[in-house]
Amino acid sequence: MGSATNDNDLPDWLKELGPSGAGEAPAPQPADEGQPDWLSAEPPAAADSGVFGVEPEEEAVPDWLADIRQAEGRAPDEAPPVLVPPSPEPSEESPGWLEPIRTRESGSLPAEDLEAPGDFMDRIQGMKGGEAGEEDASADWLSGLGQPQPPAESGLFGEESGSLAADWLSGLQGGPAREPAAESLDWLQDVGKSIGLGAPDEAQPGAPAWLGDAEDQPPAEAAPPVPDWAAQAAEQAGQAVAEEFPGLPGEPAGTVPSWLADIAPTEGESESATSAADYKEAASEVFKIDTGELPDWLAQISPEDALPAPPEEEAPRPSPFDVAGELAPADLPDWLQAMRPVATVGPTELPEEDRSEAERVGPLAGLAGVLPAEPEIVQFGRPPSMAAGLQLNETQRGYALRLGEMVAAETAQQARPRPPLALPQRFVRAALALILILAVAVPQLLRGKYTSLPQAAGTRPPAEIQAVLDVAAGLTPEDTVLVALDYQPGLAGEVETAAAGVIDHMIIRGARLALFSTLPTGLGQAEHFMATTQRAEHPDYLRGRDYYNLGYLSGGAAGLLQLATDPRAALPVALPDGSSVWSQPALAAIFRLRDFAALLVLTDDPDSARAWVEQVQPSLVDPISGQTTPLLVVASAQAEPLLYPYWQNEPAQINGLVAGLRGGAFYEANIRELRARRYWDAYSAGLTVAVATLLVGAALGLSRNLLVRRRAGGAA
Amino acid sequence: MKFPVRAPVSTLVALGGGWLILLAYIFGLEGLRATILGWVVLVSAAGLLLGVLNLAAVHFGKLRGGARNALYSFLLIVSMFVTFVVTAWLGPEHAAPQWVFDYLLLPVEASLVAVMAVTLTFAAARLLSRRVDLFAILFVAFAILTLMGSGPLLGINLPIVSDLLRPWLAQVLAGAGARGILIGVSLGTITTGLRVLLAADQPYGG
Repeated sequence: MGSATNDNDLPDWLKELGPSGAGEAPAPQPADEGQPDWLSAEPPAAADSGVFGVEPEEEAVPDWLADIRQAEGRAPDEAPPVLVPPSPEPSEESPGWLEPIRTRESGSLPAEDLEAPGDFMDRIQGMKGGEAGEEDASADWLSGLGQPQPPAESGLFGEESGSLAADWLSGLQGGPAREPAAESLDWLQDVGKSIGLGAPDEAQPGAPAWLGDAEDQPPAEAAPPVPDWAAQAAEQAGQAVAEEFPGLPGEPAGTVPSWLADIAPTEGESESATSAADYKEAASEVFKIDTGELPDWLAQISPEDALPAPPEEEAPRPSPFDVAGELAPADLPDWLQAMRPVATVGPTELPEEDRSEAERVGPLAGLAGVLPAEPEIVQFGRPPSMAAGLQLNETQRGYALRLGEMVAAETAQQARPRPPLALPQRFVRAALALILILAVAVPQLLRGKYTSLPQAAGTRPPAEIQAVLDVAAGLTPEDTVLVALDYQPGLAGEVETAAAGVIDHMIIRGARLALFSTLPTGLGQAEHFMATTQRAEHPDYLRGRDYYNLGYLSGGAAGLLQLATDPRAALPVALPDGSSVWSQPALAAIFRLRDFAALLVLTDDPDSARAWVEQVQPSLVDPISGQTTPLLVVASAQAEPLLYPYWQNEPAQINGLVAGLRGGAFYEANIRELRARRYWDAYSAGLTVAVATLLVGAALGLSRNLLVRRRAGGAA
Repeated sequence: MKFPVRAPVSTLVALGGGWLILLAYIFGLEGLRATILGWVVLVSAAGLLLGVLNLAAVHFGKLRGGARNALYSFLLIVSMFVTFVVTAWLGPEHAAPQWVFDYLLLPVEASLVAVMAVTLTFAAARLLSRRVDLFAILFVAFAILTLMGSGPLLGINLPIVSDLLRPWLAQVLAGAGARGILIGVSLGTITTGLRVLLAADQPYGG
């Protein structure tokens, strides 16, 4: 090799190309792989002569060089003091990008026009690219990109791995000098033929040489030795330089140039071609983590699980210049396929029938494939409706169904099991009614006295009954008693029976009665009471003379209040002769309620009795003397519990209470036997049947319910 | 054009009447109170008459509409008309209106009460077959004890039950409950009266 060794004598642009530019220089690889084609190959063309400074095919010194020598005053065979760039070829044979170099070397360019080495290389690349412009070189490398990339070439995280990434990166480091030139293929073939290696296109036609170099990078151990053809080429170049420049010191033959040795492959690049075992080991080292600091689930994951499959050991790819091997197809990764130029997809991919079918109507009539129809895009008819609901899989749908069932079960009302009836209700009810009717009717028909009254001989009745007895016993023929009949006709049998003894006692005492009612039926109720309870015992006790029917008092509680305030205004009753009832001798002295000897209320409703107590009772108290007109109540048995508190008050708001048939029986037991005595046997029989019915029904119902529960528990 | 005069007029009448009666009690205005109460009694009687006429109109409408139970409406209208005419013509103390009461009204209502007695007895007997809990058992037990103390069973007075147990149940236990009810009613009456007087409640269409 005839390159100069004295760096001080080298021009700047050559220094930049030398070892000083190792940082950006291509990795020192075998000349057929790592170096750019135009640099690594035998430089038969003028493009490479600039680097090696040789002109192998030039037999004589060119004229411009001779002119330079003459200008320097040296002999043509005298060695130049500095490294002289290789003599260019004649302008008609050399590329255009060498012209500036020649110009600069000849000193025709001013110093300020000398660009930096980097710019120089860019310009070289630009000019080479321009020359290679529309040639099929791009198609060649694109065809190489179209080849599928084997997975083994993928890196650990999807990056380009191994030698390939390092190689093309090294190509980038080499800068524009590694760009392929279209015409380089030809002279490269020539170089290969000249050194006996064969043409590169024999290995893979159409593939760019630099890409083949990148894919077929051999292991690191193949880098240091220089291939034979390169050595021969360097030797030939050295001989040519020596012939051209006899005085130049030459490097030892067979050794790698120093600047080329500096860009020897790094350790990382040499490791890019390690085996699969080394790959696994390296991967495990990367993920070697102290498992004591990790959770269990994460510690169970081995690094091999997280890593992609390691590249399988495969035979090293043959070099495109390896005549013995086949040119391996280039593998293109997915991300690179997505970056393919759109120009590769064109109308040529359309179906043949679409392009061949000519338009029949319209402005495109007669043309085919100008605006191809796309039946898959143009849809006729109603577009499909998009489902707006949730897209659920089977598991989610199952969960939703279970949740719905749970909610429905919570809100559903459980039907209560109805216990079966032993006998039809209608039959039992009719039988019970028949028994009760017989029990009540038979004693009435027999008219016997089979049952004694509740008060035994020689005993006193209850206090509330005794109070009524005492008030009635204190009446005189001059006294008038106001009697209110506030009970419904349906309960007339009980209330009238209870009150019959009291009224009888008053009539016996000679008192006169003034009857009225706060119910619309009161008028007929009064006549019915006197006719059914007293007429038989007191046939000469006549209406209009002994007792008066004052009629109906309307207004409810307000009417009672008006009665307490002004009885004459509240009950304005006219006799058949037109005179007022209040003008009768029995009522002539009555102007206020407390002017009555007593007030007797016959009621079946606790509310009615309460209205009497609340509205009328206060007006019965004389504010001057403090004397109270007695308020007596004869009530139904059902009203007794609610009226009893008024009797127990102190002072009592009710001065006597007779409740129910039992109270009437007590009262008659102290006076004489009347209606209570007549009904007492029937009452006793009916009461006995009712108690028996309750006992039997309760026993049967309780036992059956317990039996049903026991069966239900056993079944469960 | 319809003016909303019903609500304010009725509310003012209710408030005025209530406040007048209350002030009459406070200041001892017996004449004013008696006069207003006389109006109330007359209005109540007129209201009862209006109620009877409304009942007749409703059933007359059913009769004209051909309802399924129009026969009962027809009987009601006829009975009402006959009773009203007879009573108004002959007077309430005549034997004819009294016959209606003695032989129609009173037996019908007494029969309803008799049927209710049978129904209550039957329902009480079936209570434990449908529901067995503490209150059902207590209800049946107290009903039996009260009936046993209310009269002689088969002609025999049960001494302890009729003399001690039954009076204690009716006058102490039931009386205690009755007092509670009465106190609650009194408090409710006072509260309701105050709310009506302060127009917080307007139960008269306000």
